[in-house]
Amino acid sequence: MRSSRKLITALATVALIAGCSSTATAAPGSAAPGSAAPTAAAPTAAAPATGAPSAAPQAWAQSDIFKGFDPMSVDLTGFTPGPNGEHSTNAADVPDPTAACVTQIKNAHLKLAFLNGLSGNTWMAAIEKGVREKAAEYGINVTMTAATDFDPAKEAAAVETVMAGKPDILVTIPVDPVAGKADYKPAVDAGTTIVFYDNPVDGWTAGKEYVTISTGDHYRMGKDAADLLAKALGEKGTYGFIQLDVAFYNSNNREKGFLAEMAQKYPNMKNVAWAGFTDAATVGAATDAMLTQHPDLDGIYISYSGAAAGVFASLQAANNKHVKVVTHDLDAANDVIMATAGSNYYGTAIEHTYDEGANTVKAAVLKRCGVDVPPFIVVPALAVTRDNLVQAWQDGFHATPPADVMKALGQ
Amino acid sequence: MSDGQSAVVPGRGRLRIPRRLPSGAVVYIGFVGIFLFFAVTLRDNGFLTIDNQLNVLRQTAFVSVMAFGTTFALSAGEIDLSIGQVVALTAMVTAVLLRDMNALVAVPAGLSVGVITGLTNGLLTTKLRVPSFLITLGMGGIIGGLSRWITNLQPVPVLDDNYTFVFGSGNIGPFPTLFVWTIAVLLVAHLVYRKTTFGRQLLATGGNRIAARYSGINTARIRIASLVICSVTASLAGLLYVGRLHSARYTLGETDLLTVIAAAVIGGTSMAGGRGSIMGALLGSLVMGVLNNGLILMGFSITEQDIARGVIIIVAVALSLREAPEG
Amino acid sequence: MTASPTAPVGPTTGPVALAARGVRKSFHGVEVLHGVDFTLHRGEVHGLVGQNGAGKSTLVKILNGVYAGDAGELEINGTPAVVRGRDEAGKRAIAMVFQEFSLITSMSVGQNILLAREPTGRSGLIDDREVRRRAQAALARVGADIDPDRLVEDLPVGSRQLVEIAKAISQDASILILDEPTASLSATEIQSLSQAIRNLTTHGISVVFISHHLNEVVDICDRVTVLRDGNVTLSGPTSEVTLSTMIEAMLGKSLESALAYQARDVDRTGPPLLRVAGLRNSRVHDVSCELWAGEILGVAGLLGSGKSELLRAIFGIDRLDAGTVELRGRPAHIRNPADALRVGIALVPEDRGRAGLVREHSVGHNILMASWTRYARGGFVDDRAANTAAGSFVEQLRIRTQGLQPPVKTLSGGNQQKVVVAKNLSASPRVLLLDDPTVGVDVGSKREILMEVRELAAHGTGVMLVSSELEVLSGLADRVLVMRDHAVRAVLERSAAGDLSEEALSRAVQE
Ligand SMILES: Nc1ncnc2c1ncn2[C@@H]1O[C@H](COP(=O)(O)OP(=O)(O)OP(=O)(O)O)[C@@H](O)[C@H]1O
Ligand SMILES: [Mg+2]
Repeated sequence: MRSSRKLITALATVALIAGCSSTATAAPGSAAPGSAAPTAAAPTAAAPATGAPSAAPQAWAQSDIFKGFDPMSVDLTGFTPGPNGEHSTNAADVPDPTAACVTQIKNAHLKLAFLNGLSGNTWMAAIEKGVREKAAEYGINVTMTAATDFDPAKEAAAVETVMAGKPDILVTIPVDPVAGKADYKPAVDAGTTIVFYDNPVDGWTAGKEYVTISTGDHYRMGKDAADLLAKALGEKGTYGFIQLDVAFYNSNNREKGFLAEMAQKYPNMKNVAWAGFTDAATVGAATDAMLTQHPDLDGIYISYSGAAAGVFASLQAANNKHVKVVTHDLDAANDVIMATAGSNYYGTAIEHTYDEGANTVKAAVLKRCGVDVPPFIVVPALAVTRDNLVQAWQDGFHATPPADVMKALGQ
Repeated sequence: MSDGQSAVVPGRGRLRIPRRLPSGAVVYIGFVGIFLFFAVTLRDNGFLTIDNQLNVLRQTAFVSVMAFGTTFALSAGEIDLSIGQVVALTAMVTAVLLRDMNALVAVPAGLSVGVITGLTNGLLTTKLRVPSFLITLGMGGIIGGLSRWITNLQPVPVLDDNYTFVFGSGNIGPFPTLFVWTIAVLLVAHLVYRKTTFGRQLLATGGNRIAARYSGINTARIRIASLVICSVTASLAGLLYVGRLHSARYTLGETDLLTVIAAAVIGGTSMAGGRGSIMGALLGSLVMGVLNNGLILMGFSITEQDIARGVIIIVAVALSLREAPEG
Repeated sequence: MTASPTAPVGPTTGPVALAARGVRKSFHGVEVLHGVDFTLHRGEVHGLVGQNGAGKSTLVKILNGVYAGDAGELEINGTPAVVRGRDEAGKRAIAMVFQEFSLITSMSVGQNILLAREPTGRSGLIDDREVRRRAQAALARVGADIDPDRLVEDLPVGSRQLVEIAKAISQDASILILDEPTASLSATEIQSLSQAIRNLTTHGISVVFISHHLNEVVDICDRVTVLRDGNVTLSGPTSEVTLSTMIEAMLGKSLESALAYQARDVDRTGPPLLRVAGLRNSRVHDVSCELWAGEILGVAGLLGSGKSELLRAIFGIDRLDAGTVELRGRPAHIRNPADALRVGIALVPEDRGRAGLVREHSVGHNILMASWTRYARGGFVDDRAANTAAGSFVEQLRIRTQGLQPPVKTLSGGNQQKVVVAKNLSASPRVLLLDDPTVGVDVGSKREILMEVRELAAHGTGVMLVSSELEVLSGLADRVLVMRDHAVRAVLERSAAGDLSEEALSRAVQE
């Protein structure tokens, strides 16, 4: 009687926990920078090897998000266009405000409110740094910050709350293109100068509800990652594709850029395995499966560095020194691995994140001085390996790498 | 009421304190304290404006409504970890049906998400004799999966202006409908909790389930009911979110669970069951809301906000849970 | 009570183990100890008696450091002590068995006895074999035959009590405080316990012994101190006090016993009020019995004989494998306590802390727990009516409380028991099942409870009364079922003269 009840309890518990593993949400800080909060679903198992020649379907075709995607159709020669086909402008081509404009702004003692998606995220911190330093340059006070945690309801609350402090400028990353309309309405109604970074709001036009979107060159970040992997493997070999399996504009574009470059330029590089994840905690298990099915895999692409810890742990556990990994973003912990000579982590393709933040403030200033601002402002991509890691931290984040990274570099 | 016989002679020369502070009194004091603090330090920063106070009422409505339900579950000795996912699924179901049909179908369908989830939680908990902690954890997974599956992760816009007016975006006179909903649910919940036989039996069940059973209380039914009430308030919160955001998305409510439980506990509800307060839950929710609002307006960085919030929550919970030592 | 084989021989003077002077204590502004003096000599057994709520438990908790006293001096083994917390008590070598059980029911007997003092092997891990050995030794000292590997939750109340005592004396304390250790023990267990206590005193250990069984106190103790309303009203060697002087010191008046049987007419012509036929489950083997309106049916038996389990089975707590319960000739389908109460059967359980009360809730809410629906209209509680009803029970049973509001846990043990009785009376049952209702209540209160039982029977309630106190059965029951090994072995009827002696009961029970 007693023991049978215990048995049932145990079974039910196991079943439940198995069921729940798919509900865990990515921990803050592990989310893709600039991506909507990744959410659950167990990692899809790595695909079996096709072993077919390059004409055969590549493993990534299993991804629901890339259904019908043709890698040959992507134009990698110019800056990535905006979500509504906005022409993109190189941030370098946006003029600086005139001296008169700067004086006018300084005398106005403007107040700026900054919303970030997640606290504790390196990428987000670099954006905020750019915003704060640029604002200081123009005598603008950053009076309030709030986190939205990639939750539209929190975003609504955050917007309302900061509006009580009557900011002149609002710099923010819309959480959700659909909910954004309701969430930002109070700010639009109050005539606040709104600048977005990274994400749009559906149905709104630059220059009307908001000034512009400041972001990175996502296709060509993907392209750079592909070039890095090709270089690491001598332009031939097999690789696995581990993807943040969430329909999200920017990270999808990076992945598309990567696949396009591979298809267009490296016919001898074969994508033999694919795995999707929504929770970074499951990436390790997905990598284990991939390595089991493809013991002689040569490379791995993973959507962002924050999720790559599982890949490195898995490789290390398998004592695999062969596989080369490429991804996006800088990450204090993983960069130590990159800095270690001969490690699995070959390189990463990043954007000039600090500049992306700084550009939002510049756009707001221009707008307030009556200058037309282009609708979609893009900072160029930057390919990073061990060789230029220190410089990349400088250029991308306006920061020196953490001491551990410097030590691993032998500096 | 008879006083029995007073067996003991009151101590001479000592103040006789007739009764202890009513349970949950701490939260009232805490709320007033925090409010006054911000009112003084932020008097030039818009904190005291009517608009800002209405903001707080709007922002806390969801957590308040769910904290009322959670007070029922906790008081019965249960806990519901699936409320966040019920919010999301309710929102998705409602938004899809608003798009394809109308509010008369969408609202009952949305609420039925809460009823069905609550019933399932309750029946599994009582029949399998597994703690509700585990059942609702698992149920959260199922419900969360359904809400992602329903539109394949895509958010759904809501264009029905009548709906959004009633559920969250409108104002009745100076009052946001969100506030009106909060007060309405508060009154009903308070009456049921304090003044009905169900309420008394609920507390007895949570206080000592065996003794309640020996007293002829159908404890299984009480526990199921408490979980249904909890889930239904989560569904209502889902409806309100849809109205406020004019859209639904599978991540809604995801991060509310801990805030809701904290609000209930700050309000004087015991996580061990048998004790609680609906009014306290409202105050607890307002404490959290005012805190969020005030800390942002003070211009703290997000890191500083997190730290300050954490400290204040610990202090608040410690004060409201502190019992007179036994003797 | 049964006479102890050993006459008191311990010292009544000699070195002082513990001396308290002028101890005062208030709860929420109400003083419950008004300057109590208490002296305990080395190697003596010192009885502490008094009505429920007199302050016995409070006094010993101050001695032992659970409560801090408000005023007074304390000297232990000649050194002054300031009472602050449990740890110091350990240093002072006072061990105590609390009136409320303090065992961890989900752990084994052995683990409980050696809790926080587990012997470890060379590896630093707990040596389970040694735990078992030491636990067995401790249990042997109190004459208990209990497997140290059993879980406490599987033990009946009486055995738990023995485990508590074993745990306390295994700590090698020089002073042992026992707060109502015998309340739920059978006669044989009490004998072996008094033997064990004697044993301890020969090793120089002093024992404070709280009990409501005054006979037992006279048997076991060397000295006795009587508390009334927080004052010492009598203190002296047991050889110099009589039962009636003790009772007078306790109550402030003399008391004629409630325990003389009063003949009553029970009409057995019609169908019985309650008929139980062929009741069977793992703990009750094929029990049948009948109970008429107005009858008090006693149930006697040793610990583990199945008498509590019989009540539990009728009340719908333990599942039945076979058997029927009929009320007034009509089958009652009882699957749970709610069903039982619906057809008018109430149970006062033996373990009030676990099954009777919500400790944190108020006295009023506990009394009303089983009867909210009677004081409600349309689901809403009429608090005025409910409180009036609860108040009248407080008065009727003389529950000592500061009104209905205080949490029931602040009442003294005996008064908590009365709250459980009140709760079940408030459901106005037609059949009242009482499982040792007088455990832990003082002679005065016992009388009140038993009079109340008689009163109910006189008004037509059928009462089934389980008691471990044979004098209660002999004084109250019209007939007595004798149980052994989970089955009814005999039904004792009163003689034509209405006699049913304790001796006859005792023989029937032991056979
Ligand atoms: N924690 C407490 N808070 C408030 N009052 C208390 C508390 N503990 C005891 N009391 C009160 O102190 C008085 C003495 O209680 P105590 O438990 O010492 O009685 P007792 O003599 O042990 O009675 P019993 O024989 O019923 O166990 C009672 O009136 C009781 O209600
Ligand atoms: Mg006591």
